[in-house]
Amino acid sequence: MSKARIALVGMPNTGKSTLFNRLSGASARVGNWPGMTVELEIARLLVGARMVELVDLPGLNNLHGFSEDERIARHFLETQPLDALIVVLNATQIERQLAFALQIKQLGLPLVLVLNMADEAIRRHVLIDREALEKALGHPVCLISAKYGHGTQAVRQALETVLHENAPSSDALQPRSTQIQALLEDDNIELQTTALLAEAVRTPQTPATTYTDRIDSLLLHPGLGIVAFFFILLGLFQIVYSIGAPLQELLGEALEGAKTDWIAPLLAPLPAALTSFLLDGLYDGVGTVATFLPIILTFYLVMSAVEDSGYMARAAFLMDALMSRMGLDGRAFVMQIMGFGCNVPAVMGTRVLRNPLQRRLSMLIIPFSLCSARLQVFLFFTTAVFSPQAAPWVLLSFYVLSFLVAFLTAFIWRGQVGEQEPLVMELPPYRYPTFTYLALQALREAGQFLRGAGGFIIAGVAIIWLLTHLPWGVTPASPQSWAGQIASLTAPLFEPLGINNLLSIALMFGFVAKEVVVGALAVIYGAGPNELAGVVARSMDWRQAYSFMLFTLLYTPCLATLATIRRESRSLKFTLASMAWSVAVAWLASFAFYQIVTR
Amino acid sequence: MKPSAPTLTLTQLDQIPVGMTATVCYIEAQTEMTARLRALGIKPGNQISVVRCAPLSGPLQIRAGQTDIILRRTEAAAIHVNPAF
Repeated sequence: MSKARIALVGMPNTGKSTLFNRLSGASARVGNWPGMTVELEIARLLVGARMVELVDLPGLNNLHGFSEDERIARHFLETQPLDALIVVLNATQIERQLAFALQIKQLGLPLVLVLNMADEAIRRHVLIDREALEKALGHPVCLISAKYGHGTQAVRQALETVLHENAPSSDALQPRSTQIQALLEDDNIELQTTALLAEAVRTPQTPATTYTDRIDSLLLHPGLGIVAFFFILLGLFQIVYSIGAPLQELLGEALEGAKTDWIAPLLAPLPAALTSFLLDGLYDGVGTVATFLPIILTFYLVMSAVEDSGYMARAAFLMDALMSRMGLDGRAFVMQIMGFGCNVPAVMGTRVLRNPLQRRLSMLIIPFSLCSARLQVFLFFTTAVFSPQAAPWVLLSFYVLSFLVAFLTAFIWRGQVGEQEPLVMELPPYRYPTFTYLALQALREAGQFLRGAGGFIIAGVAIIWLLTHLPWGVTPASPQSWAGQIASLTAPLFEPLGINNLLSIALMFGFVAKEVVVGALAVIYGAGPNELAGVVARSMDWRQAYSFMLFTLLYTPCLATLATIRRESRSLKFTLASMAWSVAVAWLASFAFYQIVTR
Repeated sequence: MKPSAPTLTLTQLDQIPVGMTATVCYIEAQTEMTARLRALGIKPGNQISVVRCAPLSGPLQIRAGQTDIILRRTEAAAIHVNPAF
């Protein structure tokens, strides 16, 4: 029998994706669709005797919405052949969501109506007569709790019945755009909804005070709420990086150990140049990619817990007054802060912003967050060049500058977001996140990072290796290497900043990863790890050191961040433009600083 | 869609004090915005209340039936309501 295709549709916050994961297990993958600019999640599952392709569509409020998500979902419904639909509603809000189901019903496709969060509905005294609703609607209705897996079997059975009764017809292939157009301003639906609700649903007159209200009276309090917000943010940051960073370090050491103990001896018979390329170019490139995985995994576990708990919408509420002036909302602020640990997951996290232009603005400013890799460079330079009394203040000044430049950048480019999208969103009740679902999500994100950004990073590492090792025979990263030659060519650009040739070679390494800058300096200056601080302190004054650090803070995030920006924005042009902006800002800032202090 | 009762005192949602309930009379916004608000339960005839407002003239938290919604003051100003005294 032929393969059937079914789409999952529903309003935002109805647990649609949770149901998708329940039905699909771990078989989901992302797929591209002809004529569509986004990836949608698809899973194959066996329903009865038929193979079914299940597609998870983004949440939509109605069939004529203006958000990017709604446009995508509508476009999919208009153009793709479909055999049936699963409409997911939040059972507690059936009063307002039922109209959506009726709109979808007008498409004329076979459908199964799923009322999710049935357990929560009972707690809130929302009573639904499933059979009466089913009879009045003429479609199967299932009451489920996708989070706890209650009732998902009934959904499968209903699907099987629906597919069995509606043998594949040519109807599945007909475009439905005309039908969608005809739905605009349909008052008839309003009347039907009222009739259906009267027949099958009882809702309490006044919603009872819930635990959510009690928590919100603290967490959304005008004064205490902001304090709590920063504490929560600090807590999240600590969790992600106190778990993720040591894992990252361990993995790095393990990879380094494997390199010297196993792989190097194995490659010994090969010519030296090739061995060096394989080990210091390719292997280190792969290693760079791999060491980001622990951070991405922990980041996603924590962030999806925050999002599922309902707190992300609260962050938007609390920080909107500040962020709306920069064309963003409070969720962008959360990602900006998370960027202080590592820019890569923060850029991936901008997916919570559903407007693509807002996402780009957020991706433009996250790379200015002083990440832990840059912190290593600053710690080295501040202790080597500045007095112990001055060092903490120097460091603090970089944190302040990091915020300033990010917000200034957003302020300057906020016009590009276009007319500000209105902030109208649901504030969901607090819910317990479910761990298995989170873990699945985190693993999937890590996999996407590997596939989407891995190749780009490895290529970049290999290019930098070539620049610093060619022509054959020169001392790596010496003034005679290609990198050294580029540095002397660009010297007129860097001299006004107080950055000498040796330091600008180190900046080329910093393009790959800021973690390697200090190590690269040791190679460039030919100094051992213990002598480097002394050598650096003798070779530059505080002005040059500060200017170098300022440039390092701003000029470009690491290659992994760039690769992630490219993947997330799906635009090489935007990625290059964002890099050009950072480099320009860095040059101007360092130039202004160095010229003023040396006057 | 304006109700015809002569005793109505219409005001905009952003003018309603926190904790007060009001009835939506009409929405003065583009079709899409009206549709989104309607989907969230803000439509003529429905009772809504202002739960709280965010600091520094931030967004409002509105309760419509079983749903809580956040929206900026500019959007709230487009919603004309009749406060229930």
